[in-house]
Amino acid sequence: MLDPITYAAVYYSIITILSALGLTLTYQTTKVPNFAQGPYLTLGTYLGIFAQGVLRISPFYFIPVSFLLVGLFSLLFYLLVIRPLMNRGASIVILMIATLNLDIISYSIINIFASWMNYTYFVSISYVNFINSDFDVFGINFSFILGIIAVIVVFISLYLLLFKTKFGIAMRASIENPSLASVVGINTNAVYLFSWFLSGALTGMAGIFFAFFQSVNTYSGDEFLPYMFAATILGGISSLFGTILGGIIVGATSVLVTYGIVSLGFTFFIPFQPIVPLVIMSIVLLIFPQGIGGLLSKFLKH
Amino acid sequence: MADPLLIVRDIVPWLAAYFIISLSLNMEFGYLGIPNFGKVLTVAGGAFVMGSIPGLILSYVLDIYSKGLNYYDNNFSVVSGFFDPFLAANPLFSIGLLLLTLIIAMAIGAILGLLGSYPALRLREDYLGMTLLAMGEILVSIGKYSKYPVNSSVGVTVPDFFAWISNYTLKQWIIIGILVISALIIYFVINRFVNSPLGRAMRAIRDNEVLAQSYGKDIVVYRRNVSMFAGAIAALAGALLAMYFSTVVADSYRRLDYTFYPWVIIVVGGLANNIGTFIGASVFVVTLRLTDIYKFYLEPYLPFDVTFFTPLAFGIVLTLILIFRPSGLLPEKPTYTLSIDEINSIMSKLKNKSDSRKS
Repeated sequence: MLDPITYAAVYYSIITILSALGLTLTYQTTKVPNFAQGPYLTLGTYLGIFAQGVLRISPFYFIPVSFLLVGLFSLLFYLLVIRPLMNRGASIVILMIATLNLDIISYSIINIFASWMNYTYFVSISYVNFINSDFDVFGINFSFILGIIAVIVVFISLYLLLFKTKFGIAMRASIENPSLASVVGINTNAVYLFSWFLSGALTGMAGIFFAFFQSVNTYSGDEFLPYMFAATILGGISSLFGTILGGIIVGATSVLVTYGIVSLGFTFFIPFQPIVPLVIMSIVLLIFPQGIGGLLSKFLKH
Repeated sequence: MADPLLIVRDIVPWLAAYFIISLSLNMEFGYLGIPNFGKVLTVAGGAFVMGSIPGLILSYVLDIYSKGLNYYDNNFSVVSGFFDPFLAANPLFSIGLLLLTLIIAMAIGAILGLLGSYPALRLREDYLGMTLLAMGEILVSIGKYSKYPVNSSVGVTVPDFFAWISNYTLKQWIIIGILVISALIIYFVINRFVNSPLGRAMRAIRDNEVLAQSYGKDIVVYRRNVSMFAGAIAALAGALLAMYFSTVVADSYRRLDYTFYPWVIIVVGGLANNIGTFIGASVFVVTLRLTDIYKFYLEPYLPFDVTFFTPLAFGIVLTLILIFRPSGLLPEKPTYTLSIDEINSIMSKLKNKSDSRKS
């Protein structure tokens, strides 16, 4: 069995990386921080609860389903809300308000969905987890192993996509300079569609892992949103691989810093664990407004 | 059917509180352009003051520590057993304590606003929005997980400042009256404020920072002061709402309720238009409370919880407004200035005066 502190740190990192990657993707392409990323996570989780409570199958089977459905959900939002607004030349703050809106809409949809499950199938919908569906493989939780595999697979496929395929090059070009990219004949629209789909899909997938780690209610994803921001900003918005680094920093610091302080004898600090990454993010933003990733790239250029 | 007077009693305080919070947000974003996605920071700050300061002051005044009691651990018994009888016997002390608490709440709100304005002077809009959001989240997390200021998730009961009024209905109406009068005063102050040269400078900064700077407007000072002012007002609303609830539970200060809903209100009502904010707040609060009150009548016929239809409907309405009518229900009006004739007459009067003084 793993040491519980390492386990928590790694698990936290897995969820943060998967969900923050989605946030970075849409941030890079459409230049707007998507506040609805929180509910995407919750939606993924509640699809898992649907599998567990209504269909009575293991939530593991619903990882691809969450990936697909939450991805489509996100794509729908882009098509119905963000694209019309961008076509009208809305400013970044208006786009942020629009995603805030999507947050409210998704939150309501999740609650309606959850209460429907509760009323019709008597599934319990608050403080649910999937820990009973988990099983041990060589003394380690299967969800934990699967989570690590998921991060590695996502990492490798993103790398291959961005650097080895034509679409990836087009994607990077339209991230760097959308107008120039469209002049060269790149279909930036396809890039946007793809990034919004992938953004929802990755976060939806993270939602399933989320409930293997802790109990959730319909507001959990919204509560988790600041950590995605923290990871994205810490990694510097400029790169997806920076986000992975940021996710590891957020996951590791929140657990290890808390553990360190508590082991010094300050036990009153245990409840403050959730604010550690936020404090780190605020400090980093105020000292290095470009994030750690920006700092790294600056360092590499010199 | 519920009693209509009861419904009014339920809707009005919410409306007043949301009106104050939205006014402060409108001032920050509508007039000055600070995208404050952390409104909950100052609202929760005010509520936390209401949940902690009066209780702690009364604990010292009545010296309940010597009886082996504690405001947090024995909250309910201390408040109902010691504080409320004491306040019932001392009306003047209660009113003084209430005023002191409200002043401290506003001061804390101003300090939180100052903290929030620190990044506002340095960061780009999107980073700023996220930082403010994170700051709000930090405060609410502290409230939720720490014993101080409001006894973590358990919450505290606020001492009854009007314990000396025995009639419960009258007491309710007085608390509602305080909320309404505060809302009206704040509305007139802010309206006056934004129609003054100061308000015009704010709009100039919002529309074109560089231009405003070249005319000698110090952006840093404006942003800091407006942040502090708006913070104090939002904290007052938070404190008054907590007094109306007579409990403070940190969990209920969610981003959804105290950041996102005020945003919905100001965008629906029309940015930089205070009457619009009132209309937005009325439409929003009335719909929200009525669905909450009447959901029991609809519940048996629907296979899900009706409460969440209101936010859903509001989200959709707001999206449609953003796309098809970005200026809101009541668009921003040009600033009210004196007509040229009036200015000329004032000028000539001044001239006559100085002429007569010379001769």
